[in-house]
Amino acid sequence: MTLQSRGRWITASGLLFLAAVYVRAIWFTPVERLQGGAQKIFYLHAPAAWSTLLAMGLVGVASILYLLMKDERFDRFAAASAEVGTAFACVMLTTGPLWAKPIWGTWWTWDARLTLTLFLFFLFIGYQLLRGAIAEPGTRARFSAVLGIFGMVLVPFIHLSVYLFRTLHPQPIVLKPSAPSLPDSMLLTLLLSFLAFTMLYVGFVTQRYALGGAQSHVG
Amino acid sequence: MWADGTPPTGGYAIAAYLLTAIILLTYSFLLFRRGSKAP
Repeated sequence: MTLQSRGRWITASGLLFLAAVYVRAIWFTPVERLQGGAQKIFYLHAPAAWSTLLAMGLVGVASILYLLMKDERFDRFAAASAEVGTAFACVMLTTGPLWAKPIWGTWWTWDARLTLTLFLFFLFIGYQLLRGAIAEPGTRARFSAVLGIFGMVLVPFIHLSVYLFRTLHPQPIVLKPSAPSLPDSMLLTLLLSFLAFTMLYVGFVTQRYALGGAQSHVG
Repeated sequence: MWADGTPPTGGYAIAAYLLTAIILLTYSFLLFRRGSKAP
């Protein structure tokens, strides 16, 4: 089985798994009393944010490895992860305001978490524009690796921004030092959604990486 | 408020679930098509 078809299988499994998460989240997970149905956006928003931060974190790791070893495969992985991260960032930035409007009374507010997240989205876009603007592969890989490392540095700031700054955004529910503050039925739905989004990340990146390989052999 | 006291905010959830599905399915389709056209 080629890498491309392996990626397709993982993606298809991830999509089916996400469909099952939809069913569980909508019909078999209790409605939160204070927020009503809008709270169910949580089961998509938090995993999308996880995949986005994972994507940029791995862009940074692959960029460091590229600069150390000059292995073209790390650059190709970073490019794949950045593109996939942009897709997940779109989900995060779409679901976030849809949850904020009924709960905070506003679609958007310029607080630390939201502003840093938007900045991360612009970094994803900038990373891809930079790659598109440089024709020479070595220079392209080196310049984009530096930008990728800057993106990775932003990741812990985004995660910790709710502790470092005064913000409307809630603090982490699961990824925190103490036990998750969520009833078991909601926690299970959330963890299944994290798994579905992670599968999709792996499937997308595998496909995109294989595609990058095919293009570089032609170029 | 609904009769059980929860606020009627389900419309926002429906919009979020639909848009998420559209974004992820579109990206899946684009990757699939690019992969099929690749040499």
